[in-house]
Amino acid sequence: MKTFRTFKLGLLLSSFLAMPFIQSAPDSVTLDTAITTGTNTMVLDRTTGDLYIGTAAAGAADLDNITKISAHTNDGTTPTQTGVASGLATNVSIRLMAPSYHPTTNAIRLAFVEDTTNTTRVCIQSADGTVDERTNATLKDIAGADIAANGIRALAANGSAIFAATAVTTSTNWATAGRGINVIAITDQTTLTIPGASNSVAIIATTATLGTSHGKTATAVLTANQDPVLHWDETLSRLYIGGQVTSGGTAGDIAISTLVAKTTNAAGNLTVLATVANTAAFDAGDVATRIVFAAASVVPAARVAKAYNLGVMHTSTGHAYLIINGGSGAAGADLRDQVYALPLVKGLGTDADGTFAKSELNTPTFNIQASGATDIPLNTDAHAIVGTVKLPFTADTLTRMQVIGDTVYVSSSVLGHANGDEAGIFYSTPEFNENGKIIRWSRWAKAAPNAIGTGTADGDVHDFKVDPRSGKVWAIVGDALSTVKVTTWGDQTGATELAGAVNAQLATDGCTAMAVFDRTTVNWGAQVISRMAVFGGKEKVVFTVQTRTSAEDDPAGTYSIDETAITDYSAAINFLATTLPSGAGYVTALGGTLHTTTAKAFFFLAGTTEGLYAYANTADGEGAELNSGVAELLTNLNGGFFANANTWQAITSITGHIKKIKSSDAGTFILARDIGTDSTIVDTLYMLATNATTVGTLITGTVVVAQSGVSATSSDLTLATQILDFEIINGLTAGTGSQVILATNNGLYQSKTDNVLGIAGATSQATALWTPIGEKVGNKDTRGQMFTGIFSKGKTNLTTTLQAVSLKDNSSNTRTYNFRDLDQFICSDDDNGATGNNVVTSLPFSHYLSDSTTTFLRAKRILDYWTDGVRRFMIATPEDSTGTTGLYIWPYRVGAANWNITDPVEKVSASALANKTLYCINQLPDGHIAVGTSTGIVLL
Amino acid sequence: MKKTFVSHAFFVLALLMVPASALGYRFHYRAADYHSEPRFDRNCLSSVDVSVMGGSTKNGRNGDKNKTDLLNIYGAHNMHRLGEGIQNLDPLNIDDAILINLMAQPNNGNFGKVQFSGKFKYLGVDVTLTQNFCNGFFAQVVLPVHRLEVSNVAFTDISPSTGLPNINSAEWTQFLARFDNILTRHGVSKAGTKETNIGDIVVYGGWTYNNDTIDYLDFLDVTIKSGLSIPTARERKSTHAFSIPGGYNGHVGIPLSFDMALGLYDWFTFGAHVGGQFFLKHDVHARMKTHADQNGFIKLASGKAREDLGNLWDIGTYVKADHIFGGFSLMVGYNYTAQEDTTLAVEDTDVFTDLIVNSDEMLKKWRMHTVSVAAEYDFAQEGQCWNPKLGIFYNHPVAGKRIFNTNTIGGNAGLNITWKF
Repeated sequence: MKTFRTFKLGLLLSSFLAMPFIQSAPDSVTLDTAITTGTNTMVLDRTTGDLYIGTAAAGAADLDNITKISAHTNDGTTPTQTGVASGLATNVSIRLMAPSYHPTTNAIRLAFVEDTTNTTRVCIQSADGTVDERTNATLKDIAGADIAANGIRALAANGSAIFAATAVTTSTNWATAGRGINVIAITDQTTLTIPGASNSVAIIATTATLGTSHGKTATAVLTANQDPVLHWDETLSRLYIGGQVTSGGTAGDIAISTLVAKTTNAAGNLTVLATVANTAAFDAGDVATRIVFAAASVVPAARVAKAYNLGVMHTSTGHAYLIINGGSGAAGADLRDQVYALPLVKGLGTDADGTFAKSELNTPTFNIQASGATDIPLNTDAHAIVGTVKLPFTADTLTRMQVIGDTVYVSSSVLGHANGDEAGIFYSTPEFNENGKIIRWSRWAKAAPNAIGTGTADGDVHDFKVDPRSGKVWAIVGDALSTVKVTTWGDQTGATELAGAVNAQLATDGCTAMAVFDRTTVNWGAQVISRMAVFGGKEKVVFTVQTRTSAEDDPAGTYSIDETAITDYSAAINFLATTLPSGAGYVTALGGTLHTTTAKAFFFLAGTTEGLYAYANTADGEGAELNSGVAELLTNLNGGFFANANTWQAITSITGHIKKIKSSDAGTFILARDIGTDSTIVDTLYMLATNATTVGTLITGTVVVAQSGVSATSSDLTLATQILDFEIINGLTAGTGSQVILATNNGLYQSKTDNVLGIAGATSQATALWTPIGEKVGNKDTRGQMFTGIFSKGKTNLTTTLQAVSLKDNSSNTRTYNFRDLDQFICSDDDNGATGNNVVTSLPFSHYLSDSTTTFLRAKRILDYWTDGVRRFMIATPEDSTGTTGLYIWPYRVGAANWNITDPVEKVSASALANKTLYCINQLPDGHIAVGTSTGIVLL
Repeated sequence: MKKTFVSHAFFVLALLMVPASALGYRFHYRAADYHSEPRFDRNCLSSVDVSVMGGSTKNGRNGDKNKTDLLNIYGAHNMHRLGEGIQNLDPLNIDDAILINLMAQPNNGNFGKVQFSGKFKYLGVDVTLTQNFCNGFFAQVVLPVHRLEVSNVAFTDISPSTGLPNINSAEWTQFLARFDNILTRHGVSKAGTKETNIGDIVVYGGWTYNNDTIDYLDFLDVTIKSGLSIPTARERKSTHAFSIPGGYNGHVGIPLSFDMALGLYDWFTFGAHVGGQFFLKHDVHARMKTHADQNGFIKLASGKAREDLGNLWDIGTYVKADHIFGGFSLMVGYNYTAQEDTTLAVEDTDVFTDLIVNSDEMLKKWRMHTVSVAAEYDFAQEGQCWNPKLGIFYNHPVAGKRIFNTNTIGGNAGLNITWKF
């Protein structure tokens, strides 16, 4: 026996030692050579996930000055860097670099400009450096003279040409007259030939910028020594040129920050396009509300228009928007805390394509150029304000921006939290209307944890790239400019760390549910200064405070984004583990009664396989405070409400397996799946009592608003014999109530209760007025199709856009339904509805999945889903039905032209996730993406 | 005198030899007795034998040779994966929708698995007619009638209560609530069965040789025979998950048998038997697996396939105290029976794959070790034309895999008619 026990112990030990302990802290690599301050040389190869960075000149030991960091798949290890040897970038500094994808093979080539030698020429080389070319002469300015050393101020490229913004012959100051854009043709794709020195094209002949070309007074001036930004958009085939411009001081003077140009990709060929149809589009109205141009008025006189970063968003709904980091303001204003979206003309096949469109929300296309004074959106338009509010940083902050899919990412290099500054990488994603046009944006949220920066408290980065294929974020951090970090999947073991603390409670039985109470949380707005993440397991719920905002963090009190991240989860103020009654089972859903601010009426809710529980004061059954002035009761987990003798108390009026808890202004809804005493299937959607302040009144006031297979007048769910999921959608316009969408085995149903109150006005199934989605002409008919899940995009409490999971058959149509489809549904303002203003619709062609209409796309069997708009993570069981859950990622618009992956759904191959059952995924307020697993949480 | 005694004894013993294979059919569901003694070489000898055997059990042995519930011999039924690969599912139908939801759930130990139990009763009557010709050649016909009953079918949910999904998950509780409806929708029932049918009729031709002139041996008998098993029995009912075919599921069989016996000390007999049965391939309409993880009797998909029934082998031996008290004899025997893997070649390859179909535990080989005891009394007299006999026997499966643990008890009555001396 002793021998046997010894043997078992040995096995245990060996198993223990073999278990991967991957920390979720980003992996880091120190570059052999740092990059040079002020350079812009970070390129992500979208086809492989490899990262390329141009660095400074170095000693003899390292002569390769383009560093390749391979796509990072082995979490917990140092990313692999290798020098890319070439005949060009040998022991020279790289100052500018841009990707050029081969027109047919999609292979990346690197266009770059050297910093110390040959600074007046442009180079291009293959990713392995074996094929390279440098222009054989100095680039010329618009007068045909050689440009000055380091006279190339910005770089962009497409597959057939390189675009170099060049200053005049005597200066590196792009503001000096004579600046332009050189178009260097790639004349031989095989050997990468870029012969000669193209003359600079005078895109801005005078300091008037567009004033001349649009008939306006030519009095605008560029800000001295501010380099331009170039952005090539492959889809529109347009080059966008941004700068920082100040208008003249006379009323009617304008300054426009962004130009649009077209090219044939021949050397020197670039044509500046009229960005609007009529210069009336630039007429000054409210001078303070313009975005892409500044219009002078009497007071103040001169104004500025600035473009710090440019990008083009091709939305999943088929429209194009110019995303501009900058805006307009008073002379001297710093505008880098602003990001806006302006619609672009698309699909005309004329020079108008890619220029500013007339912003009409109620038409299906953007095919009219802006021509009137109100055609271009203002900076007060909700559909134009990316992130809903300004970013928390201004002057002296280096910002970078990346636009992919439906997401805008912006980074800040600011350090510290003084004056409302906040460092990190933030993202925002739009909500659409029935025409697929943006109507509003999600609030800025952290795209990566602060650990991506120089420390755990500051997420400052100098440059970054988000890889939608892996979901990971790369960043260059630290003033030394030699550290490259990448987010990794991992757990944590430290008691002060989030995963370490949570998993100490949940490791045995797993984390089976989680809920996030972030800045978008309804009715927590400016009242609750803590933001929380709540994790559930077997008869356990763990509360964590993720961020806490102080007056210093947020002097304006906007609570726009998450502020100081918590770094010590061993502290009682930040961490609280609670226990559900014995026999409560596994927590399968978490949430709270967010619909009310009535005193004592906020309850944390935990749904289990056995029923629903509310966290309430044991003595009187009361909940917490959310109303103004006492919201601090939710600040610390060892004070206020949490200092009460609270317990989890059963809501006995709700039975069955709780599948989902969702709450908004409209109400708090619970989906319970059960069987009746006669073995009938009983899936029930409950709406909890409004303003109930005790568990007892929650029990008595609960209303059944939908039940599977039950008929009611004008609200027939007879054919919906299973209700599998639900979501809440919000009205498109003020005063329009929210409604609920049901995912059933007979399609999607929406409530059509009273326009103003929305579903909140329902008192029964009959008054909820459930209506199948599909009755609208031209809409996708969901009837007869089984939907197994429905999700809203993260970080918004004003959802109009949903992703719904439905069954998908195999290519032989055998109706085995091993796969799932993912559709995007949008809340529509349909005035034809006799009751209920909001109708859910889907676009005729969903751009959501792919840029290919021919590839047969299908997803795994999705169990949970989270997206930030481009990184689409799904927990699923594969179609081969091995029964093993996996985390899959479906990058936006897959296809050879973009992310070049043949299987659109890739499994995340992280050792921290291996051999575990995965239950749920969400993004935490601190920027981590968390996956609930059978051994606790794993973080990215 | 010695010679006379031996001859007399040999005559009597020979008449006691019951026709081989009368109840020598080998099936996994019940123990068979040891009745493979050589036939007496007497010209024109006619024999009529009627055997009755019955038994019941609630137990069986699984693939690991361990005792388990009768209907659990192939392991737990994996209902979690029941719907995988089933074509023409209709999500609008609540029962199909439940299947779809269930199979999308991840694995969690025994989630979605049930262990079936039940009771099996067997009753069989075999009538065997044998006619000797000359020079040891004979012909034989076996007419079996069986009643096979599976009753008291019940199941135990062995889904875990820990982890998710678990025994309380809605996807599973709703499946259980609609279990019968789901099976009915796909044309199968998990109810018990009770069927009485004619079995497969077997026709033999054989040759037997008796020698009582060997020194130190009372006698040495050898019989070899072969023939044809005619598929007169009903096949397995695809509408009933627990249906058992009345014979060899429609297959034509070719049985081969070799029996020998030798006598010592005037009262002791030692015998041995080697036999086999080979089957011709046969087209069946069968319930087949559509996913590798499916397991058990219950399968939703059915289709045509060419079945290659596994060969049957048996080998045995026995010792017998012959006529120790008048016509009374006692016998103890042992038999080992094995059927090799059965394979199916599917016809509809859009639905089924040979690899998955043939991974079915029900198609795997089975083994049975049986110990038999028997007591007989013969009324044979030398010179008598009509020689009746009576016997009782008991068979006990002591070990095996993928078998029902059905002990059988029975009796036989026979009549040997010696037309010519």
